[in-house]
Amino acid sequence: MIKYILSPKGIILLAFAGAVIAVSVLMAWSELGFSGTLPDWLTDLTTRIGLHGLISESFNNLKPGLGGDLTKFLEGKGVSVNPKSTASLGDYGYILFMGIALVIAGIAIMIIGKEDAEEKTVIPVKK
Amino acid sequence: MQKIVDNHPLKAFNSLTLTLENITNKVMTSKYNPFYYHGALPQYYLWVLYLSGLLLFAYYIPTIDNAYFSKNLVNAWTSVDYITKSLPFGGVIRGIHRYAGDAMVITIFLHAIRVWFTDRYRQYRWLQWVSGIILAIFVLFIGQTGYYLVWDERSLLLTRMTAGAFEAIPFIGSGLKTWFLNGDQITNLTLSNFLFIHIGLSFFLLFGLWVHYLRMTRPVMTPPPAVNYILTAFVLICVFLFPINSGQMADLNTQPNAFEIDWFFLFPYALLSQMPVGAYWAVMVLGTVAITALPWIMIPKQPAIETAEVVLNKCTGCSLCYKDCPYQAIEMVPAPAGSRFKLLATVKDFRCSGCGVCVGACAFDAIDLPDLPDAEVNAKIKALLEAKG
Repeated sequence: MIKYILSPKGIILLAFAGAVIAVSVLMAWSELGFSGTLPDWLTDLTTRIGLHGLISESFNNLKPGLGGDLTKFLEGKGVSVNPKSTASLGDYGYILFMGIALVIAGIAIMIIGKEDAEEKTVIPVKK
Repeated sequence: MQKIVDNHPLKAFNSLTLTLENITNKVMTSKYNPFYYHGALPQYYLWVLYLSGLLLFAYYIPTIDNAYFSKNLVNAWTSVDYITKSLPFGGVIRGIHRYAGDAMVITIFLHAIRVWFTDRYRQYRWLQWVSGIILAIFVLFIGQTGYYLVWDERSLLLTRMTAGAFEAIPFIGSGLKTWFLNGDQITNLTLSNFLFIHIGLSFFLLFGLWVHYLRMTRPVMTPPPAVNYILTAFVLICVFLFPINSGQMADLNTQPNAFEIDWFFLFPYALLSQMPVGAYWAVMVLGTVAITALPWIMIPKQPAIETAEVVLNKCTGCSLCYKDCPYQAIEMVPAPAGSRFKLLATVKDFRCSGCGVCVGACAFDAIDLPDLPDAEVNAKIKALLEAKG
């Protein structure tokens, strides 16, 4: 297992898996409305495992930068949501990051599955 | 791959396609090469359209009532507005429905181009070509009805343009217009009709696909998951980059005269706005007939196909050739009286491409190409493999 993980294929796999997870976290962040506010259950969990400071800070750092840019871009495209509803501009961010995650996952699968793609031609032996 | 004679115009296109395929193979390998799933790509988008359409259908109200009085009353436009702005992920799902439709048109076009360039559209493939053209026309019309359903100013203009174009057709025009509008003028029933056409014809596509797959032994119907991921991602990223917004609510008392055009579905309207309606129908009908008739118009000058022949005293009725034939050109029939086997393979000449797959499949030397005996086929395959290294 460790040998596999340390092989070039394993390292590629880990790198892509990490990228997919990172982008997937951005999906959740988008759905929270690009805000740095974590839901209570996540705050409890991250506090218990001692990572609340790190995660909360990361979310807060994202808000004025990437979150602001995404909001500005969407509003510039005429996207608006009903403030009385639970729909949000974050829905669009969610779908963007899902798309990016799918691209990374698709490329990873293609790289990993490349070896199986070699065609093996066998000439049948006639009876 | 069917051989194309050297001096035929398709030869250059065929070489181009094969070169592109080889480059793509080097990057993605044959397992993930979209060229090898070109027929399955539009079908994948069809499933995406069904699923996203289901959600839109649940919240859509097919009525124009009070469309020009108050936004607070529920009608087609306000229901679409609700889906887009108030329903969680509603705007995104609407975008997915729209861009999956566009992507379907693009992939259908690429699919048609490839089968044309690789000479797989005629003779034993004519049924696929003709049914494909009919399916493409249905896809375009279904997409156009989707634009009517939004019931913004563009929908109103498109509806009036379509009704006018139908009415101009001699003899049946008046009836077509009445069918299209579900009456003599635009009413609530008009949108019910549009919704029925949009959804009903979408399911008719499944029947059309069944016809499209006839005479294909192993149609490739699903791309590998990795390719599906990329196809989905393409749509999702488009939804973000080009979010969908409706125009102003339709007002029957006004006459909109300009609209933003979606070239994938609405190009016929661009034509219609630029020429008299009679000329428009002439272009559309002649264009469609010409494209449909391509298999019979572009017949390369090449020797007649040597169809496979069954060696009757060797055939054991094992069905291997029947299962392997890509064109369903082999039929298993009851063996003649006195035979010790139950079945006998027979070749339908009009479907046979002379490809030789059956010769390779037969374990008993019981099927041959007249000018290419079994042993020679094997020798050629070996030579090719050795040359490839």
